[in-house]
Amino acid sequence: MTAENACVLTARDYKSDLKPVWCPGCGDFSILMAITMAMAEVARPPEEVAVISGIGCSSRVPAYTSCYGFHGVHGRALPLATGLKLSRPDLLVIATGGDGDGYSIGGNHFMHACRRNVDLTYIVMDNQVYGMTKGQPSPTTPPEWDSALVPGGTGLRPFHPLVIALAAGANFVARTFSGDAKGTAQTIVEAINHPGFSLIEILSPCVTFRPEEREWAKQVHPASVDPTDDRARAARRVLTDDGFNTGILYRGKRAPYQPAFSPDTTASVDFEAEFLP
Amino acid sequence: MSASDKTNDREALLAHAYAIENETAERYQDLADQMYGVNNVEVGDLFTKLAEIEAKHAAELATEHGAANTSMAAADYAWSNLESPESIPLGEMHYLIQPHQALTLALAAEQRALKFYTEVATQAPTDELRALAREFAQKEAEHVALVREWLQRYPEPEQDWDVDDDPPVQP
Repeated sequence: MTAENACVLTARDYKSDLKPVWCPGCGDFSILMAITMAMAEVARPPEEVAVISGIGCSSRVPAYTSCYGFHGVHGRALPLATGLKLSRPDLLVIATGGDGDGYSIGGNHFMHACRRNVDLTYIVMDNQVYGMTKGQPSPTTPPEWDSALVPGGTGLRPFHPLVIALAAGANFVARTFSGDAKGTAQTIVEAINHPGFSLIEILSPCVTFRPEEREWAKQVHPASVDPTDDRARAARRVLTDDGFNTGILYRGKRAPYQPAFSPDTTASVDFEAEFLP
Repeated sequence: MSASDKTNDREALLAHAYAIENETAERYQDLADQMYGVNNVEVGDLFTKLAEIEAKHAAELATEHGAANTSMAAADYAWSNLESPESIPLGEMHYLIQPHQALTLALAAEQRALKFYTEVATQAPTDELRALAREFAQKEAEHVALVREWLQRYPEPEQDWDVDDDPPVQP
């Protein structure tokens, strides 16, 4: 060890004092660990990082970090994150959430965030169920998933976020598994360092409402091919894989959207003036 | 790269040992808090006891060997995953977990730590380091024996241990 690394930021520096209230065994615990590890690796101090979320189990992440955070409105993590990044391009902005928040309530924002390609990292903890509201099917739930709330399953074709992201213009697309915290942390680092909109879909078992998802640990496997910068090729791969390929699937070359920053000198009281009696 | 490559001087070995014990204490306490949160008090108390034992071990490392927080980068540690070997993986938990299962996980964690120190003791480049690693391995062996003893006190879970009479899914 040298004097140089005596002040290295560690994952602990990015954790808040709040204890997560997730169910024991939830994949989100490991993802939180991976996020804080990744931040330590990127080495931006917590005050230069903002973590933005919507609503849901996984949207609680901002409270569990020591960074700036915004636990926003359901499905609206990406508009908030986009606005923040455009107005404060100096910040590292990370959006977090789940499959229901991001792909259903926030589905339209998801597509347009991919299209805009603002320099954000979007971490989706996909457990294929609405956990916080007690187990309703989400957009990524398999059609045959049978439960007390949906006897016989929905029969609906699942949403395919990675293909949608590729088609809409995301610049970095990856899939990881919560049980591989190290691989997830490395992927988050790569996503942060890659310019433009990065999507990381993290398979995160909901052990309470989808206990069978514990089996994912045996099903995931590293993608057998290297990442590509060919959008169509990446989409074909994702469409034809088994849903358990992990790794970086696509690294694009689009320039991020970042208009020239011109500080707005309007005081907040001026905005409020028209609403005052 | 083997564990001994990153623990080949006294300062590095102490940094690893201190990190292992502190992270393990923290993990046990986190798991205890999770269990209290789901009203699994018996297992919560077990994890709390284990957290206290590990915290005491970390304190001993500080007072007897001068170990301290070193703020090493994650990549500078010897473990192949993000976590030190003695930490129970977070994904192994269940809200209805029983003491025997919790202690089985703890036993595996203590055995991983024992294996880590034993490997370092075998491959360390100097007598001083080998002796230090053997001392740490001996401590872990004591923990393994302790957890084994505790395991005898609790029956193995019934086959339907995870059946919940008041399940989270409401029809």
